[in-house]
Amino acid sequence: MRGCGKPPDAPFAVWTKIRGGDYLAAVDARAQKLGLKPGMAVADARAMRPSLRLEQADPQADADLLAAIADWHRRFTPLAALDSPDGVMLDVSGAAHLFGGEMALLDEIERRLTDQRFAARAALAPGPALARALARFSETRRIPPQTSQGGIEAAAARLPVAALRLSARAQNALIRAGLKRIGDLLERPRAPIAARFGAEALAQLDALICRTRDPISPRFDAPDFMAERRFPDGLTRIADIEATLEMLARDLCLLLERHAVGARRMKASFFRVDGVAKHIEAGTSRPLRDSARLVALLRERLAALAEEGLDTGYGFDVLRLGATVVERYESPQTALAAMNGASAGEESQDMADLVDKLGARLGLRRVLRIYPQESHIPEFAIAAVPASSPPPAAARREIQSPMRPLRLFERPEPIEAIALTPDGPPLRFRWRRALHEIAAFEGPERIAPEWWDAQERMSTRDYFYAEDREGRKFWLFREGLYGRESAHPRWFLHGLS
Amino acid sequence: MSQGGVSKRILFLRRSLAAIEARGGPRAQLASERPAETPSRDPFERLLAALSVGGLGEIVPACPRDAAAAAGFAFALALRSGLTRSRPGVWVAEDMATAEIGLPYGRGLGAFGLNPERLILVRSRRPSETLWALEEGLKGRAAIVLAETWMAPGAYDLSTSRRLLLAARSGGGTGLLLLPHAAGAAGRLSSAAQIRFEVASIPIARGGLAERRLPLPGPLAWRLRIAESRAGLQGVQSGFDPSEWRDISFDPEKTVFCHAFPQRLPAPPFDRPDLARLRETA
Repeated sequence: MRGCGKPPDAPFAVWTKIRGGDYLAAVDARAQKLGLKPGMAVADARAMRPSLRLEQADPQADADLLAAIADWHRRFTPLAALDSPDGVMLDVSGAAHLFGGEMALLDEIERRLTDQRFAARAALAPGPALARALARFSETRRIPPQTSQGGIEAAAARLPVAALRLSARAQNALIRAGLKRIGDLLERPRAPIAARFGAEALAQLDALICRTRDPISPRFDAPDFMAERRFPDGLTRIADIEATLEMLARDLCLLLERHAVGARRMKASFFRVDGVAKHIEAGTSRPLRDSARLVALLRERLAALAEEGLDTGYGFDVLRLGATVVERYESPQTALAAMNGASAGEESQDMADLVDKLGARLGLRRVLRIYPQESHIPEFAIAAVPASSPPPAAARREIQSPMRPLRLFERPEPIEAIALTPDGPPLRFRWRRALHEIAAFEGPERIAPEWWDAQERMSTRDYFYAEDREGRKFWLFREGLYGRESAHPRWFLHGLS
Repeated sequence: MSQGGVSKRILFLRRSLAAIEARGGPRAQLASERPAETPSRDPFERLLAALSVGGLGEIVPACPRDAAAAAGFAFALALRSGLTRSRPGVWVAEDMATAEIGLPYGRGLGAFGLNPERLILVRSRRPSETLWALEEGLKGRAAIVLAETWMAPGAYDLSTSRRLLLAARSGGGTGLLLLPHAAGAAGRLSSAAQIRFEVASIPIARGGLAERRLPLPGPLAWRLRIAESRAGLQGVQSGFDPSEWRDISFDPEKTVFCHAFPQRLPAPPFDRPDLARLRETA
């Protein structure tokens, strides 16, 4: 729990509603000292300590805060997982030496969290369940990974049974049976324990003594290739950040080259000194291994971020650049291309660069290419596909269609149209409060929904290509066949040209 | 030196700059890469041809309801510039403009002979993004960049357009900016653009089939005037009368503009050539 900064000396607790009653959900250190504990009724707590300050618990805010903390922990290792409701699990295999050893790493985590005014305990063990138990129920902070099974069991034996993640009922049953410590369970035969307390208890026990090792599920997948830089002081100037990104991109490109892959999507993470993590992502339209281009894309994203105000605060002290999606990419043959000079290939290279650049700033889904599709329904007769992704299966047969407008509304706009007969062409219509008299028209072109499609979703449309007195051209349709599908067909404007 | 002497000298320098820009400058090399086209005798055609190499044009509808017609004129200009798969055009559509006049429709573009695969459609959220995408597209050597923005006319100024013009010159493409929000304000805009069209829609006189009650719609046609055109556009005299409205229509088969005489009957729907395919084979 984050301690309050300017608080009076009064004890503090949050409460929540359980089955119609108000109970304390969590208490701070001061309240704990005064004998309050979670699960106590609010009325009792008030009676005991009238000075108690109370707030309603906000589980969502807690979860968000925990997620932010987990995110922040990715500065130590890319594999950080949530351990709800109040823990974060890190896989630091092979990362501890970067921080001067396991003890130093634990100290640094605790110190940095204390700086952020969190009260935290860190522990390190060969398995996640044991590390979790140590952090909560033991003075021991570290069991080295090379400890023998016997050593692990000896260390676990001293833990209370609460260290097993069991339901309150199973836990009470254990205590009632006189089994208070893990050691009590370990020295008894397994079959009766399974019979009495369920297979779950045994599974938890095995996990705790690292006989089975469950993997943690990290919040974000670790990138396959990444480069990072750490600084003793935070970087605050955008120019410094960009220069660092350039260095990182060079490191990353070396890695990519060694594995003969190119980046399709990359992610730069900035960890601020005060515990905020920012991420920017950029995608490319083809595998890329050129550090200058990678940096150019990231710079676009950074510029977009800076427009909204990139809050550097006290500065970023860890910068990481990872390639999250990579594709096989052999080195392009440069010699011949250079001889041919400005060939057609180079032109399309220009375009790929342009697509990347636009996509990096605006988002890849806003840079599109249009491909014809095999459908008679106007909306589905084309597909707008991100220009960076491969084209969809091409329409095998070009569908010959009559007049089509140059512009199509994403949603047909309802209009009030007047026709001479209910199934005839329109005479005049009102669109956006303006009346248009139709002077010329072509139609109807009847477009029925595909028979295998659900009938209710769409009814038959009669399209008219019409021109009003001022020469403006409209593409209108009447929805529903008069008399068969609908008694009052409605009119829509679908396109302009 | 007297005040008049200074202004005369500046005038002289301006003229010589315009002449240098018209003959050579940064564009000369790019222009020489293209096959020399036989210069058209029609000054309007020559103006458009000059615009297609490193030029910036603005298109303003005459009234808000003509925005779609103005966009259609911009599309016709794009069609003239000859897009290829390796040097496509870029169409920047801002969300607000899209809500007003819709998105470019691939089938419709195809029916007029533009293969929609030769177009990159960029959807921007704000005018600042639109201008940025337009500038980047021009710098990235796109053949033509068409941007529709719902920008207030006051927000678009000399320095903004100067940037766009420089980008167009460095890339050798054409930049076209469609300003539907500035409808009717074509005369009041001030910008560095080389040409500004004010476009309205016109009904083109047409014949109908005898048995029909109403005739068929005619070809795309506009009534437009050149509200602004700068000297230095590759030697084309800026002898256009800004108050002169001309009616033109577009012939998608030959991709030329022609005078909107009531010259031909629209063919009935079953008897029309498949334009896109004709162009593909040509």
